Amino acid sequence: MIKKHKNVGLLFFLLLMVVIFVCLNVSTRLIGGNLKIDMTQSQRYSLSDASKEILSSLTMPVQIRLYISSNLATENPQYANYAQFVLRYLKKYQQAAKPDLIKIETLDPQPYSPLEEEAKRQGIKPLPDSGGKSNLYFGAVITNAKGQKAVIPNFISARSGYLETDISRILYKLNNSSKPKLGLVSPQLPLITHAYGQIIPNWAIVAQLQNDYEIIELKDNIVQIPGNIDVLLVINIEKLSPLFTYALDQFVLRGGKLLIITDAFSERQASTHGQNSAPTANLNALLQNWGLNVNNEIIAGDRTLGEITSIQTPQGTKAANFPYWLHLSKSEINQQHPATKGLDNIVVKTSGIISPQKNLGQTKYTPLLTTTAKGGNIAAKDLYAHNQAELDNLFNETSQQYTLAAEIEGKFPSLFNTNILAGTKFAKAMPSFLSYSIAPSKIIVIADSDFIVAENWADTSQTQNNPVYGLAPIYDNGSFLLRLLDYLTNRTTILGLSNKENFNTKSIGEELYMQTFNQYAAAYNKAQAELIQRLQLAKNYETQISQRLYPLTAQRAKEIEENNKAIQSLQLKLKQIEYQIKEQNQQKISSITQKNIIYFPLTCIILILLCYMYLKSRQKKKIEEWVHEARTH
Amino acid sequence: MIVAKNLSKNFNGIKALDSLSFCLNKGDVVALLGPNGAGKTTLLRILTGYLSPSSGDVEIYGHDPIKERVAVLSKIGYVPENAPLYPEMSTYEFLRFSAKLRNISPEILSQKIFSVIDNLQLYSVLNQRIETLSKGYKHRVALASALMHSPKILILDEPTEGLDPNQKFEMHKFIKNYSQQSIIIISTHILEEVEASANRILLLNKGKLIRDTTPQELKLSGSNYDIASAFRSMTGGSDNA
Amino acid sequence: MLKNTLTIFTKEFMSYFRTPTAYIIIAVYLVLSMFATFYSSNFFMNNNIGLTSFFTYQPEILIILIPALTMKLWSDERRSGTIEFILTQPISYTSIILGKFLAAFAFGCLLLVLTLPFDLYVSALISLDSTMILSAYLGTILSIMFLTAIGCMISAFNTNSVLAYLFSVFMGWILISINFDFLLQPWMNLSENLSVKLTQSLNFYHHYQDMIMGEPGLDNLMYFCTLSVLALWINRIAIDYKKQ
Repeated sequence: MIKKHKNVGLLFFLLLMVVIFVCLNVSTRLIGGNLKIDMTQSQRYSLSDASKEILSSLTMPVQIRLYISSNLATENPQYANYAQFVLRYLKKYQQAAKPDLIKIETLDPQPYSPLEEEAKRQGIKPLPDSGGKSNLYFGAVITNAKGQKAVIPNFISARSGYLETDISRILYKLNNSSKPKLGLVSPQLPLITHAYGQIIPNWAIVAQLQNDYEIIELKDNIVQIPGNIDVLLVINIEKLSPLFTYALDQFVLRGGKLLIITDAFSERQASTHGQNSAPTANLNALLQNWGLNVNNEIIAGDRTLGEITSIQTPQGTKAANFPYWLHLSKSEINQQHPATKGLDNIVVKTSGIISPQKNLGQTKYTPLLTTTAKGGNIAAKDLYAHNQAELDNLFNETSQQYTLAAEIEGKFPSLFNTNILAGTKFAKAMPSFLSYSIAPSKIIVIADSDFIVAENWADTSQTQNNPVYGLAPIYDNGSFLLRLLDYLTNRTTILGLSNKENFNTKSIGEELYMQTFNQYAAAYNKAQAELIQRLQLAKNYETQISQRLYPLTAQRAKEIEENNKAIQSLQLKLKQIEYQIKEQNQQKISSITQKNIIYFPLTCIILILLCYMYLKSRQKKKIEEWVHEARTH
Repeated sequence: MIVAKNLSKNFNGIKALDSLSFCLNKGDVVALLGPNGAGKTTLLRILTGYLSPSSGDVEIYGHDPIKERVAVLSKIGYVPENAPLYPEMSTYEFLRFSAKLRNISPEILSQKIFSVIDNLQLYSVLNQRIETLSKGYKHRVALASALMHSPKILILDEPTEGLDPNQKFEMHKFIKNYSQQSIIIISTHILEEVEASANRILLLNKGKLIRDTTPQELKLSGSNYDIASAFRSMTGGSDNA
Repeated sequence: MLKNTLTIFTKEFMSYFRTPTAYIIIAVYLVLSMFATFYSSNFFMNNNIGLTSFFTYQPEILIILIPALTMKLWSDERRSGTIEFILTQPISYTSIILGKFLAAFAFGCLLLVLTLPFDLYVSALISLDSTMILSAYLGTILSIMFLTAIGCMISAFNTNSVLAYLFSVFMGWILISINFDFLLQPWMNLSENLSVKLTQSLNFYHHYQDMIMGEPGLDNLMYFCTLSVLALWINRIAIDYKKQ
């Protein structure tokens, strides 16, 4: 009887303890759930102040619908970790915002389900699974209360460093319903992002701009810039007409913000139009009036910043520092200027040189990109006539610091005395002529246009279905342009955002493969280069034969046959090398696995056993000595 | 001084001990005598604080074994039934472990251990694992561990169970030697043991204390003037030897 | 108190090495861990900056191995009768319970320490995020702590160590895999946020994931600590209860 009573008491006590346990945990979670330490080295889980500011200014609720396939982890392991991370990161936004302002919904679209249909309709793009079928989803649709939405078709881990910037920009965009208007003048950068139904990856920057701005394309022969334009972007105009000069002049005097990208030698144009492409227009009259000189005759170089490339010399290819392709780092990028603060790697190729006028008056000149103090130069016209090895020899080191991009701000006088169309009937429709600025303006000039070409600074392999969020930047060029425009449109909150280190470094498998490959790289590259030459030769023979340029002599036939044989043997050799690499890599992997699964535990056990046995024998000895001593006494 | 007043213990409604009262003093070698199931082990467990009494009081040198466990236990050396030991330890390791459990200060720790080892002649088995020892040695090791802190009270639960006659003799000799300084309680149902070493007998049957006497008196009360016949008559065994 | 705990701790900890148990457990643990890392969690493919491949299967492995450490702690004492010896020593029950618990816990931590060479080995292959790994180790240590406490508790209730092992594995498995979502279904509509928080706060994997992803917090610590304290408390009750 007593025992029964005791049992009930005990049970009750246990129940009480369990209740206390549950209450303690739930209340800790509710009250202190946000008390988290970010223990990652790159502070991956911490929102920047700028993001917090954007969150605190959110005026309406935002819903984030995250589509993640449940079999993502098993089918595509590279994405699994990143999916976890994205979810965590979005939760951080939710926690930092006012309660119930951000709602996150995680959805799992199964193949052939209505949810999958919905995901596709919303613009989420499927990823391939291990069987090659496209039925994995990992994207998000973010909508505000007004029904405006932003879609991330796929999250790609190569862009993970930009995750915060991307989400914060989207939230900012959804909160400010109208996009700023960007006037674009660029005869050589057409707004065509598709050619033959395909996205041109090199113009990825256009997609990035379209995402943030309403782009208004302008011709380079207009006489007036529309007044509703927030910022004007001028890229590589071929010829600066007097009418357009007037238009720019008056635009700036009215306080318009202007970003000019010019180039002394556009590698992009040289490669697309051949070597006889026209140099870009000389803006100097206009620029000098604002206080800037752009020297298009010489090109800046710097040995300390040059890109390491393989240069063809008569002795063969060698790796060398090419001084006109500059990799700028923190010390060459102005870290005080709000637009360039935090950027730490920008690539520019064959840039012109900018210098301030002696008499600046009321304006303020700020260099944005420079070379080091060990700069040098080369004449622009030399670039057309020489190969890389010769250019390398022609480099003239002047130990001078050159400026590659600069900002000038303030009030300016006009370049003109009167309205250029004065007296014609058009003049009446135009705003009145200004001889001096009525509002301060900001003008930024960049003396290189190749820096916006995406292949120079990003991996564009995944931009096909996902032009904005599928771009994986390697250098900060894209951020540089976007930030300059943010700066000119005065969006200071967004300027505070900075990109983080990428979450995804190489996997161990890739790293091992690279190591193995590097052992064979020289032989492999050599064989490949030879193969390309041989193939070119074969093609030449073919055209010659088909066009009947030469008679098919016996000797020629022999040559062709030899060439074909060489091609075959080269292809075989390449295959063999590939096989060797694969084999060796496989060996490496299995040796690592074996080491860790068999030898490592074995060594541990033996070491511990030896340790214990040593201690034990020492103790035994000690006791035996004592006993001996005790007995003799 | 051990004082018990109206000590009772129930297990699931069965009375294992029923209103026991007694008082033991220094110099007593008490034999706790009784048939199997009389409640001897239960009584010892209550004295050592391992079990708590259902009712009644125990006082050991003025301390309660439940409320002041540590104070009471530091005065007691207890060898439970069958001398349970940790089989995987060596004799020395076990003795050192017991010495540390008894809060013996480190300066005299080794000295204490060796005096006990010397006392019980354990030199030859110090490095042996306990599981490999003979029963006699196991008992000696258990006793050594109980004596580590020179307890004022020594409680032995069936100390000669399973020992050969020589070992029994050694044990009795030891008990005699140790009895001058302390109270010794031996639980047993072996009558020769009582004669050999005890100077006082507590006779238990079915949880009741039926006689608190000396061996001489007990002998006189038996029909054949020996303890065996007295034991049989008192505990309800048949008396036709 | 502290000294006595240490005495019990030393005895129990060394006991593991006196029998082949320790070596078998270490070997099984290392082989299982490495096997899981290399064959089950895409070691060469995954992003392993925080050694995620290694930590993913640690709870499952520890569920099997920690009970092997704790099963004998109390059940063997009971079986061989030494419980009467240890409980009649002039030291408090609490120090005995803590000493035994800490010994098994320390052995569990030793298992983890033995995996450090593996970390060094991997760090030679790629650069690792050391603070994130620290957090993951912390999470694993906390998991070991709570599994040890559960194992001690179960062992205190059993006389048979095989039964104690099986019950501990079962209990560990239940505690780790239980998800209270079904209990909260009816209130799901009330406030989604609240109910999610409620179930998460009692879900092992939620806490463990937080730790291995490098984001430990107060709620994680609370979960593991309260669970351990609760188990040890029940252990204390079991000692008294099972004596009679």
